[in-house]
Amino acid sequence: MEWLEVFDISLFRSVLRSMTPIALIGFGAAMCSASGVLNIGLEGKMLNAAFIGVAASYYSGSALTGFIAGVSAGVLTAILFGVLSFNLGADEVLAGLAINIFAIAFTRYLLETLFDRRGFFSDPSIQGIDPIEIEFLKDTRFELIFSGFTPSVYLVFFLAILLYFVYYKTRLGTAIRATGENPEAAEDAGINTLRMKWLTVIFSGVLAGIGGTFLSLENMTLFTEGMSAGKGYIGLVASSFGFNTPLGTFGASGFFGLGDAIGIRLQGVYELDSRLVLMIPYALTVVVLILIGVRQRYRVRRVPIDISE
Amino acid sequence: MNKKQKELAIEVKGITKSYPGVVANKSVDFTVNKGEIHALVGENGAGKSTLMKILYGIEQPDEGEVSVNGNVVQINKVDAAIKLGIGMVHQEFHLVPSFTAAENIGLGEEPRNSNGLINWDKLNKDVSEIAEKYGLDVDPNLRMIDASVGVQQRTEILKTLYRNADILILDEPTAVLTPQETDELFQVIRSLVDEGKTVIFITHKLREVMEISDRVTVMRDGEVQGVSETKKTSVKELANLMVGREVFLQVKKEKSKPTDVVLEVKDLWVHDARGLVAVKGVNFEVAKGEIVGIAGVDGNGQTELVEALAGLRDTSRGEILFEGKNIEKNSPRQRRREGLAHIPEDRSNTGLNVRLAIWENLIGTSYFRSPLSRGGIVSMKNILRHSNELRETFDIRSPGVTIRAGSLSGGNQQKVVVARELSEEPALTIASQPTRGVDIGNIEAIHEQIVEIRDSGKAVLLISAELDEVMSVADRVGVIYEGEFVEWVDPSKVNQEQMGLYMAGIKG
Repeated sequence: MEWLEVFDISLFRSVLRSMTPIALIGFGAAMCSASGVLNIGLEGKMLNAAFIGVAASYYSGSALTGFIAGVSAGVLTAILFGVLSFNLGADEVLAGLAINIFAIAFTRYLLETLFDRRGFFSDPSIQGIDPIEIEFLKDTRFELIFSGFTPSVYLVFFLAILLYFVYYKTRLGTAIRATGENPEAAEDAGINTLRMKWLTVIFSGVLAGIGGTFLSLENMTLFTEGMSAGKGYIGLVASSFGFNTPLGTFGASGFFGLGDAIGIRLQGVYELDSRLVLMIPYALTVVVLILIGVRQRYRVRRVPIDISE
Repeated sequence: MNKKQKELAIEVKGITKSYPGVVANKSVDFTVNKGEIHALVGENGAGKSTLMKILYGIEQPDEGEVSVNGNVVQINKVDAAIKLGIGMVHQEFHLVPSFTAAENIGLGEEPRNSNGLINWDKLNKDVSEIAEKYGLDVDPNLRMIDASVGVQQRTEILKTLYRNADILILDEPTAVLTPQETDELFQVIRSLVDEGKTVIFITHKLREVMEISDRVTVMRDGEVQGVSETKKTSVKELANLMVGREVFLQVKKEKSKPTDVVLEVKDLWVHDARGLVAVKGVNFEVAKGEIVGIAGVDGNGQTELVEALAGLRDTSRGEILFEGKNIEKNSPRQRRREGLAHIPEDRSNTGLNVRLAIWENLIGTSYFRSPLSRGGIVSMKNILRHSNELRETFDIRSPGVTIRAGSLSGGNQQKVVVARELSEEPALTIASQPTRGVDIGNIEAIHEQIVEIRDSGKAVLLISAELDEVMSVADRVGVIYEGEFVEWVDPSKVNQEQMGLYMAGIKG
């Protein structure tokens, strides 16, 4: 019985860790979608942030510097996306794709030129971000459950609630939602829709930056090529699955986190093909997309013709 | 105080505004008295919209000055207009569909608590109060997605009132309303004026001008043609001023002599793009030598019905018999070959490719046929000859057939569509909103053409949201409401009021 309890708690902790980058991306994507921007460039923003975070931490020897540099990299990449789509009029989807591809090449190039490494970079002088021990939970039964995570995990909970209020209780939130749904109505009401779009894109850049440094400085302290591993896309799906709302995205991210965590668990417990197990989160993404499709179909379901005559 | 000297809400002096290639406003003078209902009439392109955009801060004039309540002002953006107490209700509503009425009304100006969060309760209460004061029946908690057109319009009016507008500009507000809804709107307008507001009412429906306005300004070609007290003018006089020549308001035609049935629709059901039933088991026939009209407020299944007939939308049940044969499975091209032509309602998206040349649009349905092409190769010589012939026959006013269709005026664009569709002498012509966005002068010509087709022994199915149009052109009229025909009438034997009830779904 005790064995089972520990197992449950560690699975729960694993879920929280797995869902963190997905939720961070998901919140950004949800805000962007609400303002009418389809931002598929989050994957690239996260990857750039992961690398720059590691590099800055390595050179400065400071985790905080690494974090700030990583977030800045996310924001700069977001600005690049904004300039491409808003100022130069590029198609948003193509701009996002370009950024994702660019990030892969850019991080690989820097990996080779700065550190003369291929594939991954790991070094004792990279300072990681430490977990937080929550004092008031010490020696209570909740210590095992909630204490000792890195900051981003807690940030996700905080953001879910904060964004809920921003969405539904502030002028900013209604302005963003109006911008996405009917820009003319928003402009009519004196809302600068372009500013709203920039705001959500920059915000998503900040979150993608935090997500990136979570991967390379919080979970582990290393960079591997393509370490974002599709989390930017999964976050996008999570936001869509959660109706682009803060709480919905939070829930959907938890679902993906669960899939991820169970995958990791299965790897250890059963003698399954580990490569197959690693595919679980991605297969889950496809399943969720199918569910989204079915949900939409159900919504526009043809009203049956009444044949009673 | 001199009582005769009325206070001016708006005074516009010598406004000139040019766009590349067009002068939209030529030294326009325009005054609106405080507390009056002022109608601004003119055809499309007459310059009404430009003038209103200048008043509302969307456009800046090249020359001239604007005074509001006696003070010369610079209205360089919409915010400035709103601060001056000017509100505008656009023809296309600017509403957020998933927001409630109150959320739309308060957008950007929501009342806040001391903690910075929006006080939704106060907003709902404020909205209810204003709605009650002006007799605007709107439930603050109703989502716009579920609201009728009338409610949406009232929400738009409330939006301006919530922002303390004293001068309301209503741009073609009756275009989407049934006659009864129009009456309701007029009551609202009167109560607004009773409460001291000033209303500028833009329209091209002269009957409404006579009914609601105190004064009227007529514009044509960017210039003011005349200003008058409504009492001292007539529909006829206004129409002549608008068009610049004598206009025949009544379509001249003989009694119809229908012969063989061309189109027979039996128990037809059609779904719309959202998957809802749009056409609910309609039955009707169209015979050679008659014009069958379909009247109704936009969005009652007309679009889906026409698309199903033209082959652009799948039917869910029922039969479409064309000259006795079921054409339900036939492609649009096959239907055309059988002799069914379609003038679509959305001219610039479905009717034409506005980025292509006139000749390309003219041959869009026939380029693959001899002599326009032989063995899969098009013959430019034959195509240009064919296009130029059509240009002359249908009086398309353009320097040539090689210019972009999009550069033509609405009326001439419509002529391109009509020329293409009629060039193959179809047995049945489906004309959907054929005069939408076309000015009065050209409307007359299009109506004459439709009657001509009929008189040459062909059939016409005319679908229009303009009640006057169906009533004056068609020989038989079916009124459609929520996908069903409410009633079939002889237009010469029924009055506007009765039609209005039918259009609202109320059977006689």
